[in-house]
Amino acid sequence: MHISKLNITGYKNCQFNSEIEFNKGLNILVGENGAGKTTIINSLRLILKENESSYMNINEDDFYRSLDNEKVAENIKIDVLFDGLKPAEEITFLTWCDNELRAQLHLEVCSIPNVKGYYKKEIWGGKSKSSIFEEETFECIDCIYLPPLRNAEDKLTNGRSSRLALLLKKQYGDNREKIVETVHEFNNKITNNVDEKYNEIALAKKNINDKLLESLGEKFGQSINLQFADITFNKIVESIKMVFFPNCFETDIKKFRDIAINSLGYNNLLYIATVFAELELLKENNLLTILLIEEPEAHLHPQLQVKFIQYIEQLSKSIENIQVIITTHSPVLASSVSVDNLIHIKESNGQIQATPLRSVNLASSKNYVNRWLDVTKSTLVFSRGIILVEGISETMLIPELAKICLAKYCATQSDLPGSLEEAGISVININGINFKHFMKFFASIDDSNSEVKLPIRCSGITDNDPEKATEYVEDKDGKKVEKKIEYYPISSDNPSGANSALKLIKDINQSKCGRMFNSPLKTFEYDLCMNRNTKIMAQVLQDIWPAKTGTINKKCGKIIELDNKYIYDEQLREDSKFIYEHIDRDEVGKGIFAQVLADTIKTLYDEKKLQIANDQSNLEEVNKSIPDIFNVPEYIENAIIWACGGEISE
Amino acid sequence: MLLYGLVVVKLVNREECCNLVAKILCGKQKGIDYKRCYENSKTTNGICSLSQQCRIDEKTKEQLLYILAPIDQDAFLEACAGSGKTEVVGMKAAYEMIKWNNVSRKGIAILSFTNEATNVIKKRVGEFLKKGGSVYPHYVGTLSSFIHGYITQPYGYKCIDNSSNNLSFRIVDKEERPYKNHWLIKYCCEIKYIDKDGNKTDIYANQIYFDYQHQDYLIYLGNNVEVYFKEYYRSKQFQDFVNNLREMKQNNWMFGMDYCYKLIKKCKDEFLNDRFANFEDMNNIAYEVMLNNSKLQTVISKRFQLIIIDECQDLSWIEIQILSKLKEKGTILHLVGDINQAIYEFKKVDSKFVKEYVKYFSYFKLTNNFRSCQPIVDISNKLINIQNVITGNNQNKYDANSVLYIEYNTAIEAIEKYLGLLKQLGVNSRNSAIIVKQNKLKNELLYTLNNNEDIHLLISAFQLWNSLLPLNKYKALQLAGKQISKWFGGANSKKNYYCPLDIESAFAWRIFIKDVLEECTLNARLMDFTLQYSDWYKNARSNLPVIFKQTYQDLEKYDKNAGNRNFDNFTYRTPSKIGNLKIEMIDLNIKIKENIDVTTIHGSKGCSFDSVMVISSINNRSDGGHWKNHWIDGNEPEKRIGYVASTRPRYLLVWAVPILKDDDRILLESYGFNSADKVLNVQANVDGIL
Repeated sequence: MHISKLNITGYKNCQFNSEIEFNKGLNILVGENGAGKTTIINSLRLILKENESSYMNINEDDFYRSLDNEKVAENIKIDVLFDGLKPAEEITFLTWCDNELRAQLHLEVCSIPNVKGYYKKEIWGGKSKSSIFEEETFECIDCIYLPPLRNAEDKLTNGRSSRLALLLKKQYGDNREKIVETVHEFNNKITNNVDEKYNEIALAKKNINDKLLESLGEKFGQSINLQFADITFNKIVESIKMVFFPNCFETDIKKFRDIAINSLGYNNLLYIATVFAELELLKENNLLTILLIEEPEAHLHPQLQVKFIQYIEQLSKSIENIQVIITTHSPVLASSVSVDNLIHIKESNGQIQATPLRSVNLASSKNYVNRWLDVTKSTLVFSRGIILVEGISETMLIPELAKICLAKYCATQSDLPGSLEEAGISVININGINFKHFMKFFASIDDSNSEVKLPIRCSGITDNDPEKATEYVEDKDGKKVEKKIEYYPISSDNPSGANSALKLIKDINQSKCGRMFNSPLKTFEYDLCMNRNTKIMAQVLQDIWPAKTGTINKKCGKIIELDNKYIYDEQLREDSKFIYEHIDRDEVGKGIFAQVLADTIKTLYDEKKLQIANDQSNLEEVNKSIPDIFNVPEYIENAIIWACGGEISE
Repeated sequence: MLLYGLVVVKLVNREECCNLVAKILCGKQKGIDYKRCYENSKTTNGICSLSQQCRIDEKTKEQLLYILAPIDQDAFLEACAGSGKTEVVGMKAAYEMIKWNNVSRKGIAILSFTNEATNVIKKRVGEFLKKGGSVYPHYVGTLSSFIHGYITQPYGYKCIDNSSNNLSFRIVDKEERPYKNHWLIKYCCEIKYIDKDGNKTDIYANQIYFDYQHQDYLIYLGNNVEVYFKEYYRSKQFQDFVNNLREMKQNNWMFGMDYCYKLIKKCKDEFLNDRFANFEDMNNIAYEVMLNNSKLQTVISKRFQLIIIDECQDLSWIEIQILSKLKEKGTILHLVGDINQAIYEFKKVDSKFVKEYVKYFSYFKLTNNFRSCQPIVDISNKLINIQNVITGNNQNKYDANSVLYIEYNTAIEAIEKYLGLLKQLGVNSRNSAIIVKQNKLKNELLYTLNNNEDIHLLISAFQLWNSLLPLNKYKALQLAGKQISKWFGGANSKKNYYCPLDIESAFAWRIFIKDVLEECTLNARLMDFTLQYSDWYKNARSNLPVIFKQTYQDLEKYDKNAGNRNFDNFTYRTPSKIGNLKIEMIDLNIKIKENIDVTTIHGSKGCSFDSVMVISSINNRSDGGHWKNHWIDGNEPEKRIGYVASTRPRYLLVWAVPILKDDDRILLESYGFNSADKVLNVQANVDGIL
């Protein structure tokens, strides 16, 4: 059996009923900070009575409270549904079952504390508070919790909070007398000075007793004995600590070192290994193990993260009754497992919105996405908005263009963050025009058809890529032959594109979050030029071009002189064509060009920002002048504003 | 005689039985016998250190044979009165639990009919099990808590209401009346009850339930009105009503039987759909769950592979059906009881079913009565013509004077005589009891209450509150709590003085009731009991709101429904038909000064006393409470009532009977009863001589 559904109301940041569905096996909760990942983990700890003895009781802060403090939840309600009960589990969890034999567990806490200030928890199984509830059933569920940013050293050295002690306690089970007896015997040997080997203690004892007798006399005197502090099983196992050696298979006791000098990351792994060793001890007594791990990536370098998550994935597949729930901010972790294991978590209007990526129908694109969702692309599940682009040029330029668009948008319409970083938007380079596969996360297109989609805004920017023009030229025999040549359209041409991604636009734009934008003319760089940015782009080309004299340099100079002023579009086209053709030459390269152009725009933008007076008196004026830096084409502007959550005219 | 199933006795030797039981129950080591085992562990901190005697050695072979009875076949243990049945059931339970493989989390259910019996069994099990009180995965409890808790409450809900995670049934006893529960009015049936004189009474859904055995609805109105729907439909008074109506409306089809049946059903179904149920409904729902959900039937049956029922003679037809459903899927039933002690006719219990049901079960019996001395056993057996040889195993302290009768004019007089008798014979009244048939008489003797206490809750409460006796104050709190709780939305149980569901602190509720009582008893108009009922209720309607408003302030912060309380707008009606009667006062004088138990026959089941006086009712109109018409000459169930009462004492049984005619006296003495007067006179003479 496994947890299939969790409902939370009134707890932490959940004002309204939030429903989270879980998979059998591995679940990875991804999402930005404050989305509610920890709320989910803590809800499960609370209702499953994880480590009840030390577990924090409910306190005032656990109840949902609106930011203005006006609304406070009346109740905390947590409900868990278990599915897939086997016959033996149906019998064990009978008092948790509804009449379809699915196990349900409910917890309710009222926000009015009793006279002593405690919040009373009410727990019941199944559909009725009045049915018999067998507390003992909890013994059949093991809930193990690994907190974030562990102070692993603490938990591995001796002491009360020692996880090692917990493991040893489980290992010993009911079989505890022998070790206590042995330690006891050994202690007695020392205190009783057996074979006269331990004279010091005997001597000290004698001295104290002598002094007592001297000072108090026989009548008032007392006698003392020296012995070890009480030996209980718990004290013994809590005084055992872990030491390490940095390679496998070491057995020489002397070589092991104190874990205080081990690296943080490795200590964490030692800690986790200790917890996993507990899993080995889950005997027939245990029917379900829930392993809750918060941010396992802490202190681990990427390769270790990958190794770790793959181990967990394998573990959750090989042990029948284990369910693992992990929270993470690591794209490395997120990209190392199948998307089916990811659950996207987002906070929206007092509710946790959980989207299991398994439920997003990716149809035929699933395998493609699983292969292709590498570290950079998996940032999409951690973002507030996404801009999917075709190549490296867009990846570099769009963040700079965004600052300009956003300044313009803020000046004329409502407020949005000033940059993509601030807005939490990722620009993701999909290296081509395979928008189809990624857009299925956001929109029902192609063969994907499901209600559930990722609730994040996503813009796709693609090129128009019109067909090449046909020209008839004479071959060497003077015969007319067909020849394909590059087509450089102007806006009045209204060129139709040949890019296969364009066919998706209609469907994508009908979705809630996905939008697709295409260059109206040809390609990204060409369209930038055609939007009357020839001056700055020629400038950049001139700077990069290796030969500082010659036709190229001169031509660039001429374009710069024109200062973006053209009477005829045909003239603009000629200059744009020139720039475009030279960007892609070996001497420059699209990547370098985009990088230098981005740097140039950034410099100009920063200069503008520097003009802002200390008292911000000219803020509006400066902001209004920012769009002069670069004429961002409308389709790019729309893509940026959409991803950032603004309004666009459609 | 019934033909019972074959008794398979594999073990003939008692010693052998003892050793086998000791091996499991006490962990007796191999190689030593149970006597040595006891000697060894008596000194250590074992189970035996607290008992004077080896617990196994004190058992008879009959008892041991049942403890060793196989649990892969159904069994019936017929246990005569005083045979140590509960002790044996407890030991059997402990024996099986220790043998049990707990890993599977399947278990045994040991069910009885009263909480007292449950506690005794739990205690016995605890002594041997030593597991800190928890018997999981087994269950020890009452049959109804088992049926409610494992079947009806969790699975009985019908609606698919996913928004609610609590679909519990609220239990409304069939005795509840709408003047105390005004919400019940919503569930008033369109069919009225018409009595022989043509008076109409409303029927509410909690007073109706379906009887699966007769496939008909049963209408229960209290006051001896209990009738099947079809029978009622054919009754003269209802037929007259229907014919009149048809004539009046010129419609010959009106109020046909099917239509009326549907009206009854509709009323009941609405009640059930709102998740209200009376106790009978709870059993019906459990039965329906078993009928309709074979998957659940299987799982519950697997969960409880063995069910032992104590006092099985009290099983009703529907309860047997529910158990049968579990048996169908493999649960083994062990029924333990004494058919002769079946006295629960009001539950529609007929021990015939049980007798019939256990016909093919393996048969075990306990025929030694450890409680009573032989004279008492003999008389009891004679009362119900027991043929089996039952041996009285207790000391015969008073010989011919063990069984006496007292003639009385009033119950109080009988009690005084009885107390004198006890003193003379040197019996401690603390170990004695007075047993009566009716609750009414018990209350009269014990709580000094009149029979209107349950109707005029507040009037009774106010009168009692002013008494200084703690028992009366306690009763006052209960009565007031019961009434006031209704105005606060009602309680699930009488726990904490009927603390309503909306009130979060039972403690604050108690204080609130106390405050209300104190304020009310200071109010002259509320304390004016010289009025007629209707005038008092009028006073109450005008005075109570003020008092509530004032006292409620401290309760408000514990009230989930605070803010919606409008005390000006509550209904407190004068119960019908008695408005112009004068208020009856409660006699607050203490009637019994000695410390002695007063209990009803039903309440005395399973109890033992050194001495018991059973008070017969004065006339034979009472329901099974007259010595001659019921206990000697009555039908089977009536005789059993006398039998149960008479088998309670160890050494001395006294029947208090109204003044006898000569032939009645001869009849009584022919059964072996001697006049208590003779004993008292002898003593008086002795005193005189001295």
